[in-house]
Amino acid sequence: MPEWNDRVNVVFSRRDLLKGAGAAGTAIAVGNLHFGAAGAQENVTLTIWTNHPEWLGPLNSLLSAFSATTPHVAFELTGVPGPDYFAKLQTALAGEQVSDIVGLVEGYLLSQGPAAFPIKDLTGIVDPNLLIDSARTQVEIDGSVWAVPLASYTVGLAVQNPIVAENNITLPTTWDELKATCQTLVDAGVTPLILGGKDGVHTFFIYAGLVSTILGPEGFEELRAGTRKLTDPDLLEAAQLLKDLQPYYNEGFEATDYVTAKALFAQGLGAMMVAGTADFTGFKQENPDADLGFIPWPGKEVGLHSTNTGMELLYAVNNTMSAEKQDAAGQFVAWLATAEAQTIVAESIALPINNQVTELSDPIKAGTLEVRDRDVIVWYDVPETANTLTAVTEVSGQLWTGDITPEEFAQYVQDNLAGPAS
Amino acid sequence: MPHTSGQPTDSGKERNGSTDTFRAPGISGGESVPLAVPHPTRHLWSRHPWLWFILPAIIGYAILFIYPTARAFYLSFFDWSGVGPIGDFVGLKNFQRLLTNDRFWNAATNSAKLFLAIFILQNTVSLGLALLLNRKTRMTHVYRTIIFLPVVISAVATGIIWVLMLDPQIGVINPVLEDIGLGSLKRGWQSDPAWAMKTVYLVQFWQWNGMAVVLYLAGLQNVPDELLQAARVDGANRFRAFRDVTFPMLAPAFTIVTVLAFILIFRAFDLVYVLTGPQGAPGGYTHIIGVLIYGDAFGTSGFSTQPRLSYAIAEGVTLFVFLAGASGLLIKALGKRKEAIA
Amino acid sequence: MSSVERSPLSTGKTWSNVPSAPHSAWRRRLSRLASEVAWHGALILACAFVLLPIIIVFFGSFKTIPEFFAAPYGLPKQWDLTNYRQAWADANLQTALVNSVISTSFGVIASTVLAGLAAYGLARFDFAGRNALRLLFIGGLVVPVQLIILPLFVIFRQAGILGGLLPLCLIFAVFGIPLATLVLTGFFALLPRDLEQAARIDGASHLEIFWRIMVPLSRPAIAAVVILNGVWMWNDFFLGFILISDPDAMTLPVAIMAFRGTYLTKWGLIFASVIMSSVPVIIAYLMLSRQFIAGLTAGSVKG
Repeated sequence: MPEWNDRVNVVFSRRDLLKGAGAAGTAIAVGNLHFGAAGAQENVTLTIWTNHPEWLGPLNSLLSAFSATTPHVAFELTGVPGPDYFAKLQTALAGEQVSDIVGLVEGYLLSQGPAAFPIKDLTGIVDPNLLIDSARTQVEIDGSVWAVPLASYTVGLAVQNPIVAENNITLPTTWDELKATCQTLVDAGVTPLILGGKDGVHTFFIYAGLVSTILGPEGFEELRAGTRKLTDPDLLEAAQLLKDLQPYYNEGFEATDYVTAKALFAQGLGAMMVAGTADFTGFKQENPDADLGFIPWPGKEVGLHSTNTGMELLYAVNNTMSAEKQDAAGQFVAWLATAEAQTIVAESIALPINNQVTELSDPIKAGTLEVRDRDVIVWYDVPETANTLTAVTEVSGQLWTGDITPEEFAQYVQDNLAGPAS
Repeated sequence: MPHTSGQPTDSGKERNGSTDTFRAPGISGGESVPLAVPHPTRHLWSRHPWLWFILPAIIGYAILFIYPTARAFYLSFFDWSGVGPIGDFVGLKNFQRLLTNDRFWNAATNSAKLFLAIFILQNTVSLGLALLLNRKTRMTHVYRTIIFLPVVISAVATGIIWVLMLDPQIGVINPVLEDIGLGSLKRGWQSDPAWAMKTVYLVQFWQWNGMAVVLYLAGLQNVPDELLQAARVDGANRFRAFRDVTFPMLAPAFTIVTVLAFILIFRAFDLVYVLTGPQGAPGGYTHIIGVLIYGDAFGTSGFSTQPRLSYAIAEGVTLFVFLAGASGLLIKALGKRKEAIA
Repeated sequence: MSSVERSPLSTGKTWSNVPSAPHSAWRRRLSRLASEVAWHGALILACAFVLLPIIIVFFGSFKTIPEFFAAPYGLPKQWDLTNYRQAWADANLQTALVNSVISTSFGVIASTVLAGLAAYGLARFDFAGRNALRLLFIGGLVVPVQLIILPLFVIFRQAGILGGLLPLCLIFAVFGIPLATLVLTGFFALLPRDLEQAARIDGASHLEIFWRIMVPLSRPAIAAVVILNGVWMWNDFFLGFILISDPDAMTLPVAIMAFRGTYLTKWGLIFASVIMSSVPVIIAYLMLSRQFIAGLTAGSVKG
């Protein structure tokens, strides 16, 4: 897009490429074509990726705010569509060719350990005391700090306020009310729940949300420790509810992809949808007039509601580049944790990870913080349950087609909590 | 085609008749060939002249094809997530695991079904269209041009186009059915397990049909008219003329159409990935082998996962071995068939 | 097929001749007419199957999102180019187009030259291991790209050329070899040897024979190779996606997928980008369709 493209410092000119292509046989001779040109002393250009291309605008504002105080640092920002991000990161890591500021997906640092990544120890550069607890546990390992999350997000149910008002619905606070609300909406000809079931990611967040209402933060620790299992009778009820809600999802949800589902909801084609803070930017982009609300997952009883909180990309510093670039990148990552940076994040991106930024101007984000009193970390953020998302995505489709029962579904996820059984 | 090139001189003689046509667009004979200047490396040229022709390709091929393939075979014997140092040597464990994995067999079966469906469609619909197009009228060229068109449209674009056509909310097919009074035929084309794979056949065929038609058309145009007329004079009806004269002459076209489709389908990724997503929605009913390997190597969601790159590479190696073996047999079998007919 | 009979293409002239004909001739004409109608009908049906989705997407590229829900397959309310303008600017299609042209041209030319030379060596000389070599080249067709992408990635990193367009160009140049070798070896093997021998007697070198005799005689086969390889290189998404990180080096399919991710489901915009990315290749195809199909016809199914 024009406004960010102008900012991008293009290191690699097309003429160079043509020359290089002409001398294809001597490919190695043009070896430092790409990154070599940025070596000038004063000015440093850092590459950085985001898995939310819809945030390119706000992110560029954030990067400009940093460049305003540190003019010798410029950024080359690349947006990679979310579903493709991990492939891109994985290949780049395997090929030791990641961006200068490495955007690790949440949980990855903990599950693989910092030694698996070409990243610089930021202890003494980043102040971990600035971070909220859930962010700190992601980036501080054995007393060393390795990264700073861009932002945090909280997952629950997004609500279309006008549909709720039109149908005289009180927002559900228990499972029974949730089912009753869905039935009322169906009777009124409204799709109660929007679900993009194609890749299973939404399904994971519904399932994890429902189980979390039973577990609560303490119960989740027991799941991690292995003293509770997803196949325990009380937790099986969540899998059963997931299946029981099937009639209330949008038509053809089994093959609706993640982004289409978001668009359907933003356009008002359904009353509720599983959503995290990060999704609201997209909803607004899709439909600027959307009037939306946020509620936690209803629990079995009043008061047992729950949310899940996770981190956006954890930004770390590539330790394979020059000392100057490492210094500049370190400066940026340290700044990212500050109240100054996180105020910008809270305004235009998602929830802040700085524990001093608590006054949020955005009503949905402020409302999210209010209902986040019984919160469970996003499951795949910790190594013991790191593989739950993959496990759910592998079998959720079969739950819909009826090829497996809710019990078998829960069993599969339990068997693959931390990774595929070898 | 490959089996004849083994004996260039023989097949050259065999097909002297058809080679005449090649001369038309080219130069006529060697009148413009200048005398060669004596050259210091002349003796090398004369000792192994073929080497100089093959060498450039071999070098590129070795660096960017043979070495990576060998390296992939090597990696498939290790336990490696893809980040950090390569893990332990695990021998055939990755292969053992995949051969006992339902997801692997499900995807392999779907790929096989997809090939079978395309094979059947291209030997009925594509061949039929080629027969229809095998005559010269003003409209032939127009029809032929249109039918080939999807071949040049990218798989990504094709996927996006058809997702729109099939979508239950903003799609086109269901409202059209409704409006022409066939509302009862409305389906969740992509979400109904009974139809999802059929829509993949349809879209894959939409893209690939034109190629099969043109290759068959090429085969048909090699059938000499005199032969067909002779058959008709001998009292053969149209069907018998097709069976006894045209059909055997189509053998080379059949070989290349089948082998290309075989390789294309088993390596397919882009189109089906855009169409039914990383898990072959719904419930793996459209999961094919190329999409499975991609997901195991790079994750299926873009979020955190526990990747097992070496396992995914083992899946790739298995596919490679299968394809190499099967296409070898296929070419051999089709070659035999042709010889028997000739 | 009743709708077809109304088609202006199929009737007209033949129909007007019918009534005045004598009885038996009349029957013959009727049956010829029927077969003519069936002929056009079947082909029009096939063309409709091909064209309808493209037309729907073309209409869609002018629509706003509410219009999609209101009239999924109808004409757009207005033919304004907002979607096109925004897609052109935001999806960086201009840059992507140039990148696609560079990588595809380089890949097609280099792979055809490399494979052409190799095919000449393989088809026209007798030496030990010739068949094994030929199989080695053609065997590349069955290597799944997912298998070798990572080792390739590491090679390019070691060469220090990762990120830009060059790795893609080099991969195209080599990945085009198997198919080109398959087609060209078969074709070269069929060319008569007399010409070559005559040229040898005149003292021409092998390279001269290759360039001045084999290449001109093999134009149809070369055309087929250029088309088959060009189409997949132009349309490749996977390699470009994995290998290119520089936003200024993205090829068209990669840019469109990224654009799709950026704009969630602003379908109008996405379809505008799909149409714009397909137009160059469709125009090229329409202009060259005769050569295109003639090339495939002559080049790929001999032998």
